[in-house]
Amino acid sequence: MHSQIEDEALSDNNILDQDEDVIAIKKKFKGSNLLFFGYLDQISVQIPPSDLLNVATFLLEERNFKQLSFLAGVDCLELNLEYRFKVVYSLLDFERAKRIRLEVVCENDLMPRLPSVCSVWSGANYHESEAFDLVGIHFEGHPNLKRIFTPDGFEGFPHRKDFDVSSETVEFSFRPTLEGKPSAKK
Amino acid sequence: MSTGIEEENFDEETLGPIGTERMTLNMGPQHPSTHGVLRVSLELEGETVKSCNPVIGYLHTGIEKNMEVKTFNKALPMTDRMDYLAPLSNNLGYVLAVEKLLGIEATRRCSYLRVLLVELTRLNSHLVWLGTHALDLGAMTVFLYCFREREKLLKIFEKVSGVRMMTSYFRVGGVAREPYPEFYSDCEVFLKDFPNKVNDYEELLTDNPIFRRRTEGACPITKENAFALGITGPILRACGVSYDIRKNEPYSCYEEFDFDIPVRKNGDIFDRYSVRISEMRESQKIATQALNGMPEGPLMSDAPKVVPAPKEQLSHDMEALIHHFKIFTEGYDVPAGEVYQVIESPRGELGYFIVSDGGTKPYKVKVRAPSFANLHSLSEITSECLIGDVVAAIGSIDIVLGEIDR
Amino acid sequence: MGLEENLEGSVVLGKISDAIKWARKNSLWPALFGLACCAIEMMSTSASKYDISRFGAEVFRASPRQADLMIVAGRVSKKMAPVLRQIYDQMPEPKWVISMGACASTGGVFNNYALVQGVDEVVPVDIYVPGCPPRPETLIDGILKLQKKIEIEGLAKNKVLS
Repeated sequence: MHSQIEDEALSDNNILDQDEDVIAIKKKFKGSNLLFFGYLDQISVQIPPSDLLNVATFLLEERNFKQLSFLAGVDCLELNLEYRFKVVYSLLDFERAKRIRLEVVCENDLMPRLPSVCSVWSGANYHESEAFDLVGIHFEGHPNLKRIFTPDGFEGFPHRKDFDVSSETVEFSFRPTLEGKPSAKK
Repeated sequence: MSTGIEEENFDEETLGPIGTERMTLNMGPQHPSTHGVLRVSLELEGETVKSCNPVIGYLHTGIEKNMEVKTFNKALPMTDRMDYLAPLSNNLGYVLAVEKLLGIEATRRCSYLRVLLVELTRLNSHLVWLGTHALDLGAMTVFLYCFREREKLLKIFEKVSGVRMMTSYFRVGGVAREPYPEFYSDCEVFLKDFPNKVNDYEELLTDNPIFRRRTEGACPITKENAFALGITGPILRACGVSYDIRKNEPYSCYEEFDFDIPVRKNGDIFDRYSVRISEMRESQKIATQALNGMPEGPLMSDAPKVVPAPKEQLSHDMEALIHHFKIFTEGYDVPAGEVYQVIESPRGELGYFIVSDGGTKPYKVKVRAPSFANLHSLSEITSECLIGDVVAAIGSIDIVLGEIDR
Repeated sequence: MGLEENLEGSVVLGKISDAIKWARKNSLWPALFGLACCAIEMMSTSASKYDISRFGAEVFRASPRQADLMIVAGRVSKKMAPVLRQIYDQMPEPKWVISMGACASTGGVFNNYALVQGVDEVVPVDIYVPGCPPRPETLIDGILKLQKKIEIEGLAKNKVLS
């Protein structure tokens, strides 16, 4: 999918070559294995996990991307890609009203791990917890990584593609009383 | 009456130093002032809040997952149920995102109609916020007044779409159907009267000394913190940032409307209130402009594979009939790709991140819910405040749990 | 003047159960149990225009100890279900449950991993109110139906007289 997007972007327009952020990132991270592609008026940068924190700090401090709009874990199981999990970050610069998207591919398919960006944007806290809870991506260095949506004792990661969407019957252990049913006696 | 204890007994020798102890107080998930099923776990020292941790997930519905097994059209009604105070804003965000992927554009008349309805939705949402916020602070009358106006709005929505709340009126490439004939005059009557109603609310609250003392200077947040925490919408504008997606990244013909962005600078509860009240006036202005400037022309986009043909055409046009059948059975293919479309919902930046694999169903939908990020500010703004302010702070963030938990 | 003067010292013969049921049905105190979208319609029902107090059910209590009617307004997630059950257990007898809306009654459109497929898996339900969300009129109709049910059921709950 990416190659297709990339080709399209390169042939249709050259926003990538003219974009000042792309030029700045390219200049700063010359040796890194970065991949740029533009799709539907938005610029994306694919970065290896090891460079994530450096690029994020650079974008915050020198390119003025003050806000992390969201981050989302995506399970690419059915997309025929060579990797399974990726995380998409969307950043916003208020002054230029400009957005940029970062894509980080998790290297390990069985135990996806990424460095946490909470130290860069503290707002990443909830979003990372969400990605951990629903897609099962571990963020190293997150202050309090735990499940936030699913109930205690929930097994599996519901937004993965191999998780069945349909419902199963629930069993509740009601508080036992002497009569076997709840009562207001005593 | 003697207390039985002489005063000199209260010394450190007999009783030891007077110590304080931290108390953990659990608020919610069933609580009248948490606006749904939010649970807040508070650490108190006396009446002072030392830490405040929101616990969410009590309304987790798995909407995003459910959208993955429905076609693009059938996933639309799911969006209403996320932010149930502003269903049309959610419809708009989703529809714009899918339109962007498909590369079709709504007609100008359709965009104007969408703007009109979305601004009415903003009024609707702010009315519920104002009513419940005031109710939390002890003002019952405002609640009754706000719901009086809301009923008028819901009546318009119901006549347009068939349902009071869960409208699902927008469609990819247009809207569900032509609005009913008296729609425009109904809107006109409502919008003409509405500024007076806002005056009524302001009369009850803005100069009310009790309300002001509870809100002024309470639970402020600074600009830098708001940036870092990902806060958007009225809360961000209340602390001095003039950023409104309608103005800065216009969508759906918003660049053609003339309106101001209300901005305050203190970032406290009163400023958030004040921003939202001004926003109601601005929304009324935008909606009036959309109503008066409603262009002529077709309502639905010219995309036969996505937009079903009108019913009259089906009786004599074979191709239209085939497309109609295909749209409603297997859906339409959306080109592979990823899109992130933002709109300004009543609560802030509402974004739809949709991944399509080229099929008829979205591969992945992620909603950037404004309340979800805004709730993050709760622990920040309530630290070192009094416990009574927590309720006011929750009300001032204007959270919708359906959107947070999704 | 008129009627009251003649009532002084009068005696009415009747069943004590009728009097109790009459009192019960006309003073239903709902617990504030808004969950999702339906809660907003429940608020509309209690606000101006619909005004649920015409049917004696406007005293929404935040504490379950003071309530005898639970209107489950909205979808019940699996995380919320134990809480809901606990609140139901805390309500004193006699108590009734109205399941408001499609999600509370059957799970609605959300047949998935996160939701309880009908609140009757957790608590016994007396009246199901359909709709997504139900109009305030529908909820009021549900309350009126519940009042009828209270009228015909036995004083000790769960014994419906034929």
